[in-house]
Amino acid sequence: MNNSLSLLVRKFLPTKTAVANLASLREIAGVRDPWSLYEPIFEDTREYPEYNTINVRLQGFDYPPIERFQKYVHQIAKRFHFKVVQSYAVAAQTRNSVIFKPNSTVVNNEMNYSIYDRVVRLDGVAAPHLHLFVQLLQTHLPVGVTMTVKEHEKTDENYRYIPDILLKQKQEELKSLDDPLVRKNLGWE
Amino acid sequence: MLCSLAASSSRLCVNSLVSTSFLRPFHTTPLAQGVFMKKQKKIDPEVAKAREHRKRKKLEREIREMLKHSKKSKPIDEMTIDVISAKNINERRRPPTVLTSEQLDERAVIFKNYTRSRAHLMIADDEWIRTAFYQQKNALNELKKLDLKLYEEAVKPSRVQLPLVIHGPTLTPPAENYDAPDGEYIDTTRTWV
Repeated sequence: MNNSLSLLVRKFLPTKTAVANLASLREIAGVRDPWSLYEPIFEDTREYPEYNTINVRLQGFDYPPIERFQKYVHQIAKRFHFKVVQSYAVAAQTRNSVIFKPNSTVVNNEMNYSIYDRVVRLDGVAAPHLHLFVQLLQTHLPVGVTMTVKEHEKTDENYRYIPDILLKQKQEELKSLDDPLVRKNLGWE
Repeated sequence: MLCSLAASSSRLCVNSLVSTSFLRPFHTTPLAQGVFMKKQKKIDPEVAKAREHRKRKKLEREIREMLKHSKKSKPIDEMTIDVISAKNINERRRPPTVLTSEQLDERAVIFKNYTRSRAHLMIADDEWIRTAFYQQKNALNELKKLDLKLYEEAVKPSRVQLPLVIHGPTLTPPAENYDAPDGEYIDTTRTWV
């Protein structure tokens, strides 16, 4: 009886006359899931399990093609419904390569060059889609560019910045206050 | 007497001699244990607590202040301009080239053709992505019907394949019978210690 009533309520809720005919407030409100009483239910729309944040790092001796390809990675990531967290440049590594004269260590020729570095950081990468993504990028990879796909780590983020020695010292000092030996020497214990 | 028998045993004997006669007066100083030259006097626990609190607070405040300004990214050389070029930048500006209407037309046609070709490539990529997604989804659904365990295995992130390093193609094939000269690669990347 009650069940059929609730069905009726759901069916006729929009019309004003139906609401007026119902006996109590409870009947007007209809049946509700207790879980959604105080908070809306957020449904997980993810189809497949996902990776943690993933970094696509592009390296090469010339940066215009890398930047061009970085743009392409960004576009394709959007088409794969990945979330592009950040797309940034990292300071280049510099190298000096030396060629010796035969059978000696006398420098014959020398050259300075840079290895440029660009990173695209992705989030929400569905596990079965990653290899399709990599496959597509591999077919489009420009000449002389190396692509590294890896999971994001804290060191990747720290590598972008100049290490702050003074700050590190202060943090060490704060940490050392928990050390029993230091506390004893300070006369605190 | 025994000491003279073998070299190893003699060393043992010398060691034992040294340990008994010379090493006894040695002490490890407080310097070896920490940064403090002498042990501090024991102070009132209340005072100690207050001091600790003050010191901790001070350090935390300093760290907070420093954190505000600490994140400086390493300079990206290719995105900056060097001092010499920045000084005479006005000398480097060229007068704008004036094109005839024929040239403009020709360039417009080339540009349009180029854009069209790029768009076609992108459309092809999109098509590929769509079919790949469709086929993969179908295959996974079929697998799910067959065996749920296999499906879960197929779908989960396999950490084995990461990190993945892929090298792009080279401009030329490797030279055959190339005798590499002797030399060195020296890392000259700027470091902050």
